Amino acid sequence: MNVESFVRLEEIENGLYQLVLDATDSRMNVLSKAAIAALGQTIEQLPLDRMRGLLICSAKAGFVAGADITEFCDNFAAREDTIFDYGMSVHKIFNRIEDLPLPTVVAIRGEALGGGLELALSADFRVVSDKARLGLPEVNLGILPGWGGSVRLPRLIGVDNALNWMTQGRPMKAAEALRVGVADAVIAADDQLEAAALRVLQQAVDGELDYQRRRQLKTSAMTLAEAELTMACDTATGMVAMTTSEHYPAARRIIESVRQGVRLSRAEAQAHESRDFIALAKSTVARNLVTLFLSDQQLKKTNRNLAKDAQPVQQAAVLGAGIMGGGVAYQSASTGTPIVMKDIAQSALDTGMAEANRLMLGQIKRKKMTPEAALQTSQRIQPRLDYQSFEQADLVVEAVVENPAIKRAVLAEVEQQVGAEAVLATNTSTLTVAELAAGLTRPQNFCGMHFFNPVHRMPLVEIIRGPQTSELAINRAVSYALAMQKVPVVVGDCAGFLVNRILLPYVHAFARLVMDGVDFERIDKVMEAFGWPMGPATLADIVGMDTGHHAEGLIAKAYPDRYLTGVKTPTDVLFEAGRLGQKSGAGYYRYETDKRGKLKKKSDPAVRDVLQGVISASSELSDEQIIQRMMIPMCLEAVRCLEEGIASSAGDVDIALVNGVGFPRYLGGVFGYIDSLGLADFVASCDQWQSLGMAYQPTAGLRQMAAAGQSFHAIAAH
Amino acid sequence: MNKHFDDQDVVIIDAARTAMGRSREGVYRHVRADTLSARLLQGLLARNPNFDPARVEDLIWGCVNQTLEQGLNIAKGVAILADLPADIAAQTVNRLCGSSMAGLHTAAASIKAGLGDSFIVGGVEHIGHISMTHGMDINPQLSRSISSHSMNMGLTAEALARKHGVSRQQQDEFGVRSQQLAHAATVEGRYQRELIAVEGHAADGTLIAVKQDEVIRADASLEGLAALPPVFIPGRGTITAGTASAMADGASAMLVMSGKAARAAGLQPMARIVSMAVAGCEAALMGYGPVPATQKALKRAGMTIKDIDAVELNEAFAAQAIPVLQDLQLMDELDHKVNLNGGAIALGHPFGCSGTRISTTLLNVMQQQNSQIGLATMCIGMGQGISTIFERLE
Repeated sequence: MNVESFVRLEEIENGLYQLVLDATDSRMNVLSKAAIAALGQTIEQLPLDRMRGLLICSAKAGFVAGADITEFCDNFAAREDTIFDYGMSVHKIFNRIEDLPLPTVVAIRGEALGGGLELALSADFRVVSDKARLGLPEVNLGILPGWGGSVRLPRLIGVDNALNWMTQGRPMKAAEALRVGVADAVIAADDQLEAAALRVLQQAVDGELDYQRRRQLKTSAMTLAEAELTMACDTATGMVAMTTSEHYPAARRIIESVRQGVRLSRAEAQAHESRDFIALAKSTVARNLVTLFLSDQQLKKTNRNLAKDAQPVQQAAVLGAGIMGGGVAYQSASTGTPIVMKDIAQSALDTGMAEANRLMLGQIKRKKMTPEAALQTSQRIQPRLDYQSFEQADLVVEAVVENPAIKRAVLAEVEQQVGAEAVLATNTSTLTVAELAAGLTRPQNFCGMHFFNPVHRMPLVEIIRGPQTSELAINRAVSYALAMQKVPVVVGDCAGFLVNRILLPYVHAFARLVMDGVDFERIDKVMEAFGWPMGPATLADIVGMDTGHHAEGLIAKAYPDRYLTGVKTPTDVLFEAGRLGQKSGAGYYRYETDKRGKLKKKSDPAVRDVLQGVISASSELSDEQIIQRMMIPMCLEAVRCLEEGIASSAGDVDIALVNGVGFPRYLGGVFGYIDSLGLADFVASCDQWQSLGMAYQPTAGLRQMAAAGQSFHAIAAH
Repeated sequence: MNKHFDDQDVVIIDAARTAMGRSREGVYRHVRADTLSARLLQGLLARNPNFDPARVEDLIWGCVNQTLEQGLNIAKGVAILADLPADIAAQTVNRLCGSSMAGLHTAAASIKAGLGDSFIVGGVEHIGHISMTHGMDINPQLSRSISSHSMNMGLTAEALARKHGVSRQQQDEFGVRSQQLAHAATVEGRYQRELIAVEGHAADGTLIAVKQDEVIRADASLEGLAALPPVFIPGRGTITAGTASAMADGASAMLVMSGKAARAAGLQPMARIVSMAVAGCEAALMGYGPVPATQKALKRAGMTIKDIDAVELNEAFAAQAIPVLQDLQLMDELDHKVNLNGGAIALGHPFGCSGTRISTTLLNVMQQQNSQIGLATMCIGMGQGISTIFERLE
């Protein structure tokens, strides 16, 4: 990259210059190493003798999206002194901007995130458009703002505000930026942004606005009393502890770094920040989170490409007004696509609408939705007992009961009611697209759309490609899922599809641990401490023992070599005892409603008698062994899915599991996890459990990869 | 035997308060803050026929959240509702928890300066109608100098307790003590003189004369308190609902005069003000405010803490009261000097009311204990303390 391909310096008038960030061949400005070098060179060569003020702006829709995350894995793998030197070289450039013998203003339109905001913080004033988004999201990647953000932000807006911004890591709106003092002005007229920024610059040049005072704030040590600093940092730590587990050390490190940095001079604080940055950048967690981020970006790109060839869904329809059907209707309507909801019973339609109303009232109460938007959403759902309006539907989601005969009949019937181009999508978790396509005259228009419960909250949608499904049908389903603000992942057709096929071996591993005499409450505790949002027994109680019993039976039949068959599992006996989980008031645990109407989980000694019949051993396992026995079958099933082409990339699987079943993010998804363990070590740990059968048997492909020292993601050695 | 007082002294003629109502669905749920204040005032004036309201220069009312029913200079509204003469001036003051004591100080200073010889001071807070956080909007720029969490009083008390090594057990013991002493004072009639009945409503809706504090928990026990969860720092904190001041609504008032005017009207004062002080401290440790404020007041009085016979320390939190008592060297004198009729943990802390409420209680305790010199002191949010030293004259 030559200098001009990222940044150019232009004279405006009367000694006012503008530095325009305008990366060629890119939608947005990203601070890659090359871009930083270009920026540094330009700053070094400013014609200071002719300059009186500098405006920094962007020719893109956004200001700067941040550092170039695709470079992170390589950057972080470098020697510590190399990382340190690079950090200090960026500090030097930003400090030079901060120390220019003339006032500086940044005009921010769109995103100024991460390194982009850190660059903006080095200037004296920030003038932002009212649609701007500013933030330091580094914590989400397991690192801290390493280009002076954690030094300048607290000095500028105070310790509490800065810690809020940095530990939450979400982009803030322009109004919030103005309120706390990150922005100095918000301009509503987008096309006037640079003009307004110039007016600020001119006033600073003329001595009417005091830029030296602002600079002074940012460059000197803070003087707040020790007790106040302790209050700010301890409270921030307490708030982080309530939302974030110990597996994510970045937020706590940010707080400690700020605690120690605010008393230091700028130079000392920046060196300190660089050392803290390195400690985080070198962690496996950061590597996993960065890999996950890149997989997510890749998936988004893939989905965009698929959807761009599709006609958007203008009118949708859903068959069945049950939990899933009602959820699909609500999600479609609330994101702007009108939908017809058909059921055979008025009572079901009433229940479906009542559920949608309940969700909207909740959103209105929490101020997440305006009453107007709720009314519009409501009007976009058309409940019907017949097929009226179905001829206009571009896509129909079938969400009737999980019974193949009924599903086939309903699908054949609806195919007669819709246009020739309309896509039919079955929402099923246990049947395959292939077996449901049998009776259809246009199987090319048929695919699966597997939503997760509750639909409005779970981001993942599996788009299932059946043997005859056309590209057009897939594209349209992806486009619809994106319109519904979901994360679609296109997967191949098999029992359980991708996510449940990988989850069920984990569920079964839990059953076998219980049968081997390991206490289920202990397993829950171990797996929660490992990072799952809930343990497997709690999960089973939420899913429901009836659903679990049914699903486990079908999956075990589809993949009999890795399931125990012909023996009763804990799920079976709990199901038979009527302990269905939360829905019946007791499963593994007992459930009581507390004073505030919240469901509370309690230990229930009575369950021991029920489980006694299936416990056939009394194993003494360490926590580590419990984790291995739980995770290995899941990991190996993921490997099989990849080898069989059920998923098209390791990244897709990781993203699907994180979004679909709450796979711990810090592990980087299932393949991030295997990579972190090292394939050879992982295979070795599988081999210790060979007595448990095929579920613990690595595939030949995995053994080959391990022997060749490969990994699933391109990861540089640490 | 009544003690001598000078013409230039600032003297307290009488002092009273309403019973404390629970903020949550309590006896004052249908009674406005201004009405509550006016009824108390009418009762107080009725029992002091020789105090001439027409002489009153200013009615100074403490109130923190001055909006809605507490807005628009509630003091003047109280004066009108209480049928006071139209030529009385009135102002509302806000020094957060120290508001009505600040009103007392303003009246005293005015008398000393010759700006009037008769004042009515007091204060009110109806937390049940206007919550503590209603309308709160903290300047984000404060965060450069103090922590915005220093506005969370519970967190500041936790910080103070941590700094001074105050344990959960010590706090619980202090909490139980407050409840037991307040309950005993109720049963033994030691609140009788300070309480003036006002109208309220019973749980079933009946109109009643409220004669007794509603908030005191007679059944408080150490075991019960030990079982309560921490409220400000979930899981790790030490302060519970049992060791923080109760949420209560109420009003209190005092009649203040110059010694000369009191003598001329033939009024026997309860006490005279010996000295007063306010002092700032770190916001994050606001609960410590009574220490510097009291040290200043003692110095102005030419006294040491040994000269103080009775202390009313506003119990914002046990976690805050204990470090204050330790550093004022009062911990060893706890049982015969401090909050002998219980404190705000039991009675509640309606912010605007509390300053004259604790002063009123102090003057009664001094009479009951036959003490000569008394101290009323309290901590104030965002880092302050306020203290008043009284000498009993009755």
